[in-house]
Amino acid sequence: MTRDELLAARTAAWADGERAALAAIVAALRPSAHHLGDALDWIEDIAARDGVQAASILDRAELRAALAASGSAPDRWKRWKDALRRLRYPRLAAREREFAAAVRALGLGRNVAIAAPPAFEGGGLTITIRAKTQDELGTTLDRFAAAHAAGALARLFALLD
Amino acid sequence: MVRRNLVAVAAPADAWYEPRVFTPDAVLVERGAEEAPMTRRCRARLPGVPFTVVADRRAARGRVGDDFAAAKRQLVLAVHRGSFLGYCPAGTRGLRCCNYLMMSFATNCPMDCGYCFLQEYLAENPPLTAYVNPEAALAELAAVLDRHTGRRFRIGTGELADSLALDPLTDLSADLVPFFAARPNALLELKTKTDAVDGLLALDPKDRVVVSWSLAPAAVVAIAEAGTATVAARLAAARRVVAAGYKVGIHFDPMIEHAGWEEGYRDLVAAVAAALPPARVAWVSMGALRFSSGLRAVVRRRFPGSRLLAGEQVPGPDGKWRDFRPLRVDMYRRIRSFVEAALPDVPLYICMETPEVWERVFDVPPPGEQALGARLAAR
Repeated sequence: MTRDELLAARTAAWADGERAALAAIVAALRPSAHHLGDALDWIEDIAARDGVQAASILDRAELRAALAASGSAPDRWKRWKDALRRLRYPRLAAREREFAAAVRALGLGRNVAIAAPPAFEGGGLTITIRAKTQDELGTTLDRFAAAHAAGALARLFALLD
Repeated sequence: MVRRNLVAVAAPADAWYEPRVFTPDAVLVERGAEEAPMTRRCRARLPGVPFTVVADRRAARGRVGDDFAAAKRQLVLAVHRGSFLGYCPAGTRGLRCCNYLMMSFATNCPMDCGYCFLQEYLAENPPLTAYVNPEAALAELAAVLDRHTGRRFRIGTGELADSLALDPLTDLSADLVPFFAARPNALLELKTKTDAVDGLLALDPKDRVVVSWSLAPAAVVAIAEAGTATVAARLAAARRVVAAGYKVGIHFDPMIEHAGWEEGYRDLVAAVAAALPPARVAWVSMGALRFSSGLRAVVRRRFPGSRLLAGEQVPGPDGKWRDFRPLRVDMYRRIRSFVEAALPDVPLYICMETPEVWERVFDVPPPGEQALGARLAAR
């Protein structure tokens, strides 16, 4: 199914104004049919959860800001879809922000990346350390040891719970 | 939506209550099943319903097309020619299971729960079908039980159908209960959302039969369990089977997050504890609301605007979508605390979850499936 076919099929029961509002966004940001399908699912889910119409979702300030931002269509679509995802998954998004803040608070530097499992589902943390020299690695490991000794890593694991 | 012709009215806790019997719009009898005792019973109990003999049960599919709700309103009676016995699909790799076997005496169900996996699982073969040759199933099962006399089996009939929804028509329980009552190494679980227990009451289960109810707060029943008995009616039925000598199982599965869910489940557990003596509760299980991707698409199509899909559900390692882990672990923990306070010493387990989730909920690693199965079978 093409993007336009999907849009027509999934919005057939919408009010004309709502359909036109989404069609304008799709025309401006040109998402793939797959991405548009995700967005339509999320709009329907938010509408069901909050008891609102699609129009009021599309008119949210976060979405209007992403649509009006500068940049390429794919970049703006990514911002728009991320904003919609935050509306669809508010508690998951909040936990992701908390996790990112907890990682930053460790002060481990740019050579370290700590990732939670996708959507906090299954598995443990994934820790990536990049080092060009043995000294650089040693410095990073010392920072890790200090964070561990201070109990600062516990916050990350608590957020998985 | 299926018409609410099974049970739909509230029953005061101790009031006399008469369950209503499911009445299909039509019955199709596959050739070869016409003279089966079960067919005769159905014919006698459905005097106003047209019966048609068909050469092939697939004719039923032609009548209803892709209308899943319509497929629930006609009953097919057929001889089952394959195996009746199988492993519960909850034993998916990576998930903790309870070593459970299932026997399929029917497929589909007259009720229409919005979350039911049968909407996807039976999409290609949806007509409500009852198998008229339970004697073949029991012969198959007897051979297994006789070969493994040292093992204790838990066997359920509520996987592909509600265990009791058709019982007022088929009298299947009159075959099953005496069979299991005479089998020291097997325990039968009849799972239902009905209150159709009349057929059980005169039978002696000899502690070999557990009648289980899937329960959810009334707010969930109202939005997601069309055609089922009310919670009050289910608990009234549970009291009746306990009085008749049965044990009862309780399944808080699926747990559905909704406004006021914590109070809803707290009150529900309290209602169970008020209705049933803990010593007669064989087990309690918990399970998260879960959807395959395919089922999500079906629910979206069949129930537009359903709030069932609007939770913060994400795909897990087994491909099923559940509330993201911290949310459902929180639900499990709270419901666990309600159950342990209200029903002390009743075994509590989780269905279709990873060992990591189990450990987060119970603070200890899960038992092995053999150990868990044996513990439940010993109840």
